[in-house]
Amino acid sequence: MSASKETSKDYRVEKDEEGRGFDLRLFKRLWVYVTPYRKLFFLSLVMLVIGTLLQLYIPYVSKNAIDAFMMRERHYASAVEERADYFRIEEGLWIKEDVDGAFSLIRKDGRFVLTDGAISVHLNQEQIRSLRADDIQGIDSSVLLLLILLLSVFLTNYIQVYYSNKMGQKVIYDIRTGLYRHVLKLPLRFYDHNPSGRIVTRITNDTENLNEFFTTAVTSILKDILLLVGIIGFMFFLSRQLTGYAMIVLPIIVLATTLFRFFDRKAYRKVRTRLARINAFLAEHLSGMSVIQLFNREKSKYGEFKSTNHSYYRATLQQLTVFAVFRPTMDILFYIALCVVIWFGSKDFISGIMTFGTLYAFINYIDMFFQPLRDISEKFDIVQNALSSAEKIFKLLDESAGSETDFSEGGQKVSDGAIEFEEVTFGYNEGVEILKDISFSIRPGEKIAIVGETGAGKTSLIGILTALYPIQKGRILIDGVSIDDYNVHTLRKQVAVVLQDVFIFSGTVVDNVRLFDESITREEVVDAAKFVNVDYLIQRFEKGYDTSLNERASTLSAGERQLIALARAVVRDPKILILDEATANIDPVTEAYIQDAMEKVTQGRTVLIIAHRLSTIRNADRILVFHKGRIVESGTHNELFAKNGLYTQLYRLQYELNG
Amino acid sequence: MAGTDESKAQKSEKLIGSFLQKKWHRYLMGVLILLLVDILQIYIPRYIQTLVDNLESSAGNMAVVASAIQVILLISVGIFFSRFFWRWFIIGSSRMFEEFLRNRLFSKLLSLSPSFYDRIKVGDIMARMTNDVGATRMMLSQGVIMLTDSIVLSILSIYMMITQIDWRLTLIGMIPLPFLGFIAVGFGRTIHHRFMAVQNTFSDITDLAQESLDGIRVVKSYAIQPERNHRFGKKCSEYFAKSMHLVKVWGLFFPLIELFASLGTVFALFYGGRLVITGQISLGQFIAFTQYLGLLVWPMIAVGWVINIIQRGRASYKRLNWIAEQVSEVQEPAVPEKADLNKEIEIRDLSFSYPGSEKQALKNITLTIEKGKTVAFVGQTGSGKSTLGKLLVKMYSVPAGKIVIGGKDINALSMKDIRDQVSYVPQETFLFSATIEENIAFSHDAYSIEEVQSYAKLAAVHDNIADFPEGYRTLVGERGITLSGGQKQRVAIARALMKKTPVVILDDCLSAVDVETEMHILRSLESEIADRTTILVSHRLKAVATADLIVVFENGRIAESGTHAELLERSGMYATLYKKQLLEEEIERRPTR
Repeated sequence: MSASKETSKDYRVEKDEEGRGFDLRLFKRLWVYVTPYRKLFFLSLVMLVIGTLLQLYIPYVSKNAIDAFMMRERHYASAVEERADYFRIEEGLWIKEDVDGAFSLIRKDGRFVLTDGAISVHLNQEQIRSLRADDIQGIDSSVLLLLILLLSVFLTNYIQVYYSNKMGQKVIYDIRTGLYRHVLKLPLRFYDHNPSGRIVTRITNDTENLNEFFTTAVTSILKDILLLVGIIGFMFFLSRQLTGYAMIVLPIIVLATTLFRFFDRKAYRKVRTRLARINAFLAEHLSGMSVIQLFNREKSKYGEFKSTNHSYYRATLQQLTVFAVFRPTMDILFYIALCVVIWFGSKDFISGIMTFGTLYAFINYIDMFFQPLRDISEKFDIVQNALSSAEKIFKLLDESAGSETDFSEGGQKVSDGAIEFEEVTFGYNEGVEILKDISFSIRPGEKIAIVGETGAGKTSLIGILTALYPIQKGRILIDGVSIDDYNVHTLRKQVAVVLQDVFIFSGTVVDNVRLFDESITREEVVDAAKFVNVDYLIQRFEKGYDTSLNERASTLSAGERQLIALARAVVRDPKILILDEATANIDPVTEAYIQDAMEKVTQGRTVLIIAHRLSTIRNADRILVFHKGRIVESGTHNELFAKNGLYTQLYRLQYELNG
Repeated sequence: MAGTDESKAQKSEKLIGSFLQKKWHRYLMGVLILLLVDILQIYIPRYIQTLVDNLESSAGNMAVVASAIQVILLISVGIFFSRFFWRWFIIGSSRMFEEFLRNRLFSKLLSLSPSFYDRIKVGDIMARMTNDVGATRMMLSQGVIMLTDSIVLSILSIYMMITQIDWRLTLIGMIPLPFLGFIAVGFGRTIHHRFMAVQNTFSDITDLAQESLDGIRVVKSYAIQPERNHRFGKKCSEYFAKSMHLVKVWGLFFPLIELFASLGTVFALFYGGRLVITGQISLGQFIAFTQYLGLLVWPMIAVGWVINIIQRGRASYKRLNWIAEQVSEVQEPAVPEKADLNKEIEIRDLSFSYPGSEKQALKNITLTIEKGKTVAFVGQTGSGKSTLGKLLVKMYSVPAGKIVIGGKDINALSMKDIRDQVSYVPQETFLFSATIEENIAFSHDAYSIEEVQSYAKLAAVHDNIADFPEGYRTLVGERGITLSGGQKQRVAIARALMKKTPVVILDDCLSAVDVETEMHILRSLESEIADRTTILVSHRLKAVATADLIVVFENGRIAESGTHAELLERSGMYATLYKKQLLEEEIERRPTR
């Protein structure tokens, strides 16, 4: 995990949206995302049904093995001499299996005895084995069948898990990239009002919740339900009466589970909020550690932490109690069900209504029945959680005010680069005007410097010229065409902006210059870098143009960043260039490089510079002086200086006193 | 980094050891009860066996069934209570340990000086305090339970299988079981690695999204949404691939466990079926055998898991111990002398570099701050004007004899003693997410609202606070109201003033208010701080013009010093800066037309 993420991590829990029912519309909307992959969905569904049925069949095979081969009643007809199909026990005793035969096989003291009531013959191992060769064979075929069943269950389970995950992953890929695409289209206004952390949470964590919903929750709930119904079905098939007895515990199970769910949710919520409180406390107090220490408040803060920590401990104990009661309760309910089945099953067995194998299978089914019950309620929580995430995601997707068009360039292009402002009024918020009735025009190829104190509205000019913010009044024309009539993406491709605070993306130098646009070749990037004098710097990096620049760990100075930003602009060969010069202290060497680069870059382009450098102003064709949202003076340096007005003051402030 | 820390580390008792010293009996109790459950569980198959054998013999009677059922129910009641209590003792103790661990670590964190926090990111400490505490607790709860369970239950079951049933059958039935352990260890590890890979890609996605949103201006200005989409899509594809890579193994895990667990029963049927048919064992014995096998499945998986849990727990535990073994950079004297800040403060040829930095932040500073005077430190960012203030409150250690307070070396005085007598208001205002009232009265356990208000008035923030819907009880921070930078700074000043100390250091703590307000506040403070020694660090010269002494810093040195008038006369750096700031103000006041 990167450092930047960790520090900005939000340790608070987002407010729970509680008590939301299963909104059908949400399901419908989610289903839309599943439709492209419904083949995967149905495939995993089919696998799930097959796997569950096969699994249910396994105890039945064991039942047959017990009844048919291990516990079969054996009767034999006897003969005194060798006959066809007869088996020799001893001299004068030959037997053949016969349901009505007088002899039967009885196990006594760990040995088999052949008896007809009068004669008893102890059989040795060899005799038994030959006598019951077909039973052994039956066991072998049962074993084989079980092996096949187990392998099939294994395979279907695996296929099911694999494909349902594949489907889920594809769905969240679509939702996530779609959401991202949507969010990037939202106007800057939206970003001014919504913390980026929250939007990121929608794109990452909330979609992740949906993933769990699609891959784990839905299928396992289906599977559990199928299992429960199937088990009852099989038991019913084996013995209605016994099923009825076994189900005596069912209401108690339902009651226990409901109670558990209730108490667990309560306890869990407590645990979660209190843990969040601990973490929030820690995050906050680690950040404010020096204040605590400077005020000698260590002891009282330790006390506060201790009690927060202890309240969490108490909550975990509560949760522990809930679990410690519930789990053993389910166990004891299982044993009760088991005993009920054994009691009534034994009765039926003794009275000959039920075979032993059936009883055995019953017990196995009871065991299987309890497994899904243990955690089905947790899965419902996952679903609940996912639905609340889905709701938040859809809410963001429905946000469309001022959304930009999809990314298709084309339409009107900037040909000459003439700019005209006609009585433009602009403000970020209603009623607060940053620019008031601004009118000016710039001829193609002209270099305009804009000066003014901080807050005079210079930066806002950039935002409206590139249509990042809509203006409230007036018109902005480029080459005589209103910027509203341009395709916004085409316009921005031809109006390059270099901001003071240069944003470096994580990526290589090449990536950062061409801004990941792979239609720009590496050579073009290198040329641009040479052109703006940043090549020397890049060459000094260990990996040259392939050095990765991380936003935070960057060692680039403000001046160096500005040079890279200039390269960014140059490589696109824009018609119009807007520069916000860096005010930060720049070392003389870089400064010289920047000045030289600026001279070259501005050739043959319409240039608008928010100027902080003396040379820039002197070289400008015209200077516009902004003051509190209006243009108060304009002209060349000499003209303005002669006026001895605001410009003169600004000039003295910024250049003469900056020694 | 770790090396020097460890060599410096004092001998600290290990965290787990000191916990167990106090609570070992709870653990022992838990483990004993766990043993009891294991023993009880082992008895159930025996009674099932009696029951089946009774039914199988033609003389089956319900009396035997009834008595067997009675015993089983009795055992299950025993199991019920035992399971409750081992959970209570073992898991409860692990929670207790978790609490103990957090308290211990937090108290350590409270004692570490700023150089530790300069070096270690809050995010890193948070990761240790959350993930590592969790993993360590897992080791002491699930780890202990699984370890006990897997050893005891395995031995008991195998013993019963061999003595009560048949040793050959035991061998055959157990063939698939060790694989469970291997699957749990091997898959557990692979799953962990692949899971981490998925998590890392997830972080990348988060970072990428965060980056695009933070740089949204550039993204839009350069119309590079398609490129950003492409890049994001690629990361998401990678996430898809990594997740599927994980699913390939993870999806195999439970089906495979189920397969091998059931294979034992099938093997048992293969050989046990023969034994039953040939009369070597009874059907009851066979069924009891399959139940013993069933009891063995969980311990076998647990063996695998416990290895992973302990491995992870130990790694986490090491990271926690690392914090516990940290030593504060600023050491307290063993027998501190009594500090008296009502005296003059002397700085004698002090040079200082921040720990871990080569650059000298202060170079050969010599300065005397007289008692009760107001001294201003001015200069550009990075000139060293703020550093001196930090050293005076012992945030960093200085060599002996460089800072002398009332004739005593600062190293001979205790941090607590100094800080009780100095109010230092740092540059970055930090308010706690508590009410404004609590923030201002931070240094007091008990206070009156009138007192809080009077200091808020002094810091010129009372009117703002009164405007809030809940006044002084308004919550500050994310869950409450967001104060403006200037409001925060003024609350911080009120907080410091309420400490009522002989020395006040205001470290450029009014940068977010305009110069008029700053001057107004400083003027209103004058009466309050008249007889206190005051150090004002500021970049606004006008605000500090009335100070008794103005010290101009440049690159860690004192460039010039004197009163406002003296410095203006010298027309040095101070004079130029002053003129510039006056002009700035003039422009600000201009009308638009």
